[in-house]
Formats: sequence, structure tokens, C-alpha cells
Amino acid sequence: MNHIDDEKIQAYLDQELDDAERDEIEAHLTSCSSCRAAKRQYQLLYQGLGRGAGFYLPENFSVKVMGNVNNAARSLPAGLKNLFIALFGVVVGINTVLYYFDYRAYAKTMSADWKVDMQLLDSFKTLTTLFNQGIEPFVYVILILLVLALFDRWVLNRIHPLTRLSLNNSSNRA
Amino acid sequence: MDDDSQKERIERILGGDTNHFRFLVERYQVLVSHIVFRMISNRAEREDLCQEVFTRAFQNLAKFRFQAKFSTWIAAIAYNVCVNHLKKKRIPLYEDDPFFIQHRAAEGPLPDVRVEQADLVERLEREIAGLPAVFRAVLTLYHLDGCRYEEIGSITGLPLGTVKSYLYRARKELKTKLAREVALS
Repeated sequence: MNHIDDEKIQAYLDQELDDAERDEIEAHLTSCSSCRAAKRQYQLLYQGLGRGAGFYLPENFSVKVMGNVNNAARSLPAGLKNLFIALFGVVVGINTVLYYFDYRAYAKTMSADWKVDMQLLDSFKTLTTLFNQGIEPFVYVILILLVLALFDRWVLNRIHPLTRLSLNNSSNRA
Repeated sequence: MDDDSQKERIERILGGDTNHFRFLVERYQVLVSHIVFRMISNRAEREDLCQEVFTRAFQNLAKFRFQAKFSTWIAAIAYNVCVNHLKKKRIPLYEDDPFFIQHRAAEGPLPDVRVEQADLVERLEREIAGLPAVFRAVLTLYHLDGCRYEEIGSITGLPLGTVKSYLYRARKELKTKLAREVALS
């Protein structure tokens, strides 16, 4: 048998060889001083690698982490902030488009089945008209806010459980 | 901490009792510090990165499905935090990384005087520090944390053959260098 290569010596020390291979290597080691020396060098290396290397964190490390964790739990994740900003942008965008777009003229060209509720669109047009429409637009606004709030709760509870922690913590403190 | 009590603890954390997370930090901070300290040479950044690992683990705790060991999961977070940090700083990760080749060429031979003064552990630490970051990570996971090849593969996302190859090459290089240093001293 030729000298044992480095990979085989490591596999032997890692106990990754089958019985036949292990027996063959052990038989060779008894008769080859060069391979015994190589094995010994690897054994020393393994001992050195297995020693702790002075990687110690400070004693108050977990306290520091808990400070970070509690801060993270209290703040709304950036992704959700962006989502709500985007939703706000959509609402403002629709309102702006409706303000400048002559939707009444366009609605006349639509079939009766597809005609939209002019009063609803009008209610979106401006805040001024909204207040002039009586109680109905407020009902729509409340319904929209309710849907947004439900969506908000769903996102917070289902999509990002971290925020659920934040909500629970807030209610516990309260 | 057995699997059942750990699962219960995680469920309590997700239920809003964040104080239980502290037990997980205390249980796994040694594992995380091994990976971070070995992969990150800059001492000033190490503790901050360890904190980042645990903060990320907390933020993603709901994604932990108990399909793997928690230690594997958090070790994978630690590994990825380090890899992202090193990439951001353009520090070489692999032996064939062009940055690593340049870095090596610039280093030159080690002065003999340091060889004479240092003991084996110091020499070993210095030689390990000269290896690519991913080699350091697999060595640490295998020898310090007792992970098997498959677990190292799960943590690093490397194929099994690559894990073995990196381990063999890293150890062979260390052995050769240490043998050369001993011969010089």
C-alpha cells in the first residue's frame, strides 16, 4: 500500500471510513512511520482546533440583547410602514385623480350595469364636497376605515408576528 | 434544554412573553460567538454582530418550524449575518475569491521572529485567521461546536461534498503551515 493521503487520514480521524478501509489504514500505520507522523500531526491539529479560542461575550450580553429585542418589538417593521404609506398614497392618488378627471362625462358612455355610484365618487372628490353630502359619505368613509383596520390587524397578526408581540406588550403594560 | 421545553418557550415568546427569549440567548450565545468571532477579524464589530444575530432570530422566530434543531437554525442566521457583513466590506469569503488571492499575495511570508515567540495555540489562531472566512466557519462548526458534515451543510447552505472539501483543504493547509513553522523555529 502507498502512503495514506491527507484526505484519507482526515476521514480516518473523522471516523468517516467503513470497516474495511479503517482496517487497511490501521494495518498500514503499524508499519509506516511517515504516515504515523502525519496522523500524529493531524491529531495535534484537531486538539488545537477543538480548544476554546477565547471567544467570550461580556456577562451582560443577554441584557443588551433583550434591550434590542424589546426595542425591535415596539417599533413597526419597515416593510409594514412602507405598506401603510403606499396605501395612504393610493387613497390620496384616487382622490386627486377623481378631482381632476371628468368622471361624470365618462360615466354617461358606460352601460347601465356598469354605472358607478356617482354619489360615492363625488364623496371622494374633495373633503369639502364630502362634508356637503350628508351622512352617506361618512358611512362609506367609516366602512373604508374599518376595512383598512381589519386588513391592518390581519397583516399584523398573520404576516408579521413580531408586531403581535408589540401589541401584546402594549396591552400588558396598559 | 430538551426539544419540548424549547418549543414551549418559543411558543410563549411568540405569544408575547419576550422574557423567555433571554433563555435562548444564554443557551446559544456560545455557539453564535464561535461563528461570529471566527469569521469576523475586527474585534470591535464582533459583539454588535452577535447582537444582530439574536435580534434577527427574534424577528424571524415565527418562521422557525421545528423541522431542524434550533441550534442549526440560529447558527445559519449567524453564518449569514457574517457572510453579508464580509460581503459588504468586500472581505474575501472563499479561497478562489479574487480579493483573497490579492490579499494573500500582498501578505508575503511571515517573519521568523514571530514563529519563535508564539506558542502552538497562538500560531494556530494566526494561521486560522489567514484562511478564507468560509473555511474558518466550517472548521469552527466541526471542531468547536461538534457539528457533523450534514449539519454544517444545513447551516452554510453548502453541498455536502463542498463542506468535506473545505474541511480537508483547510486542515491540510493548517497542518502544512504549522509543520513548516515548527521546522523553522
